Amino acid sequence: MAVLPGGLAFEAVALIIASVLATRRRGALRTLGIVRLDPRWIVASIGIAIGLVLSSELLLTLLRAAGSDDPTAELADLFETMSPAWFALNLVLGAALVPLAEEIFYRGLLFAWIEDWAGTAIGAVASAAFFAVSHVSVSAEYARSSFCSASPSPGSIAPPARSGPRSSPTASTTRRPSCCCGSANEKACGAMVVPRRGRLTWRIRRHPASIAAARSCRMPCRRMAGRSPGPSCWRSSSASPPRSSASWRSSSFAATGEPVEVSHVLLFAFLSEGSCVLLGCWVALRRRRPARLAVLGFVPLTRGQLIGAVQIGLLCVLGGAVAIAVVRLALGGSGTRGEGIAELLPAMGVLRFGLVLWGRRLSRAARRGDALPRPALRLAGAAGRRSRRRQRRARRRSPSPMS
Amino acid sequence: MNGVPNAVFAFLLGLVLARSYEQTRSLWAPIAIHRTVNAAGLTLLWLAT
Repeated sequence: MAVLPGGLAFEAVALIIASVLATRRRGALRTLGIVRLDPRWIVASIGIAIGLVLSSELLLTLLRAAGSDDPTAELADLFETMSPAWFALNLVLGAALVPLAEEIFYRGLLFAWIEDWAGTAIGAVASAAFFAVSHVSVSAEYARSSFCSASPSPGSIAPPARSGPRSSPTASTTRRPSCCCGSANEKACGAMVVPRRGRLTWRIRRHPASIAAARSCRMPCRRMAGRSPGPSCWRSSSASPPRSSASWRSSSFAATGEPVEVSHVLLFAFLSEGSCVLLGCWVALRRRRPARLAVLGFVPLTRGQLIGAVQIGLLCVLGGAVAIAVVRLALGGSGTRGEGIAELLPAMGVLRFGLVLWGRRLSRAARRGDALPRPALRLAGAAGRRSRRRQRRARRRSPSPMS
Repeated sequence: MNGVPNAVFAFLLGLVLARSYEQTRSLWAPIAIHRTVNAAGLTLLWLAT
């Protein structure tokens, strides 16, 4: 739990430093859009925000009334275990530092960048889409109900489930429905995470009966009004202790499908950051209205540089995954949901930091016509050599009329 | 996946933030909106639990 504010702070500071470094020149703040604002606009902004919050509350009430899953269930569960001091720290970070960093990235860089190329409407929609993708919470309940695994398989990076009341078989079987993790027939819905020999990758093997079992588990839970499938499921059983009980809380976090969560994080990272890199490179290749982009350091790339950029983007994603694994190992994996969220934030910070810095280096290299920074150097260099060879051959075949 | 409503709300919020930035040409407007939304949302959730 203690790592959550740390994760938020890391994410925010990484974004701010990367953004400032990306525009480290005269008037960098102005370039990023940080200029003085009419006080009337501040008042209007707060009014808009309050309207948004009220409308979201209305939407949530409607969702609960319709019996749908509560999207805030995960955060609510997290807050239950949080002391007021930690909540205050989260509030300061979440309300002061994180919006500053995110706005610099999504509006100051991304929106301005796409707007210059494709216009305001597409810029707004695209930046909002990236903003939305990065805010999809990877539900621990979903992972647990889809790929439950009570204990990690040998060699996996997941920590073992805790001993004692949390993982005692009696507690598990009485507090959970038959197909949830830790239950008697969990093999039927379990997944095995099998590390590949000699590699830093893993694959998920699901039991043949897992899909049907997971479906039958989620079906009754979905029909219940209120919270997300996992806790609703557990609360529905007759032996379930009250929500405030520490024993219930700890048992609900026990025996999670940790490695599967990591794979979800990987997928998420690929979707959000990888697509961001690809779109950015594609936009940079389009030579339309480059003047304002050049101020930020974004200039068109050659084909070789584009390949290098994609390579670097993938490396950033891989680095994020490694960072997650390292953090998980360093934490010892107490298996609480809060830590799962907190791990995601530094990883995202690392990814965006890398993205912005490499984007800047690439654009500088492109402007000077230099070679690419490593590790894209070899790949891009080979592409450049092939291109020059083709040009020489073409010149030899068709001598110029002047000669 | 219960993250989908979050994503829909984040998308709408993103549109509003982009519009406010486009209107004012200053990042302080979306920052003010974003901060208020985060603070109010977190506080309401904390009070609810």
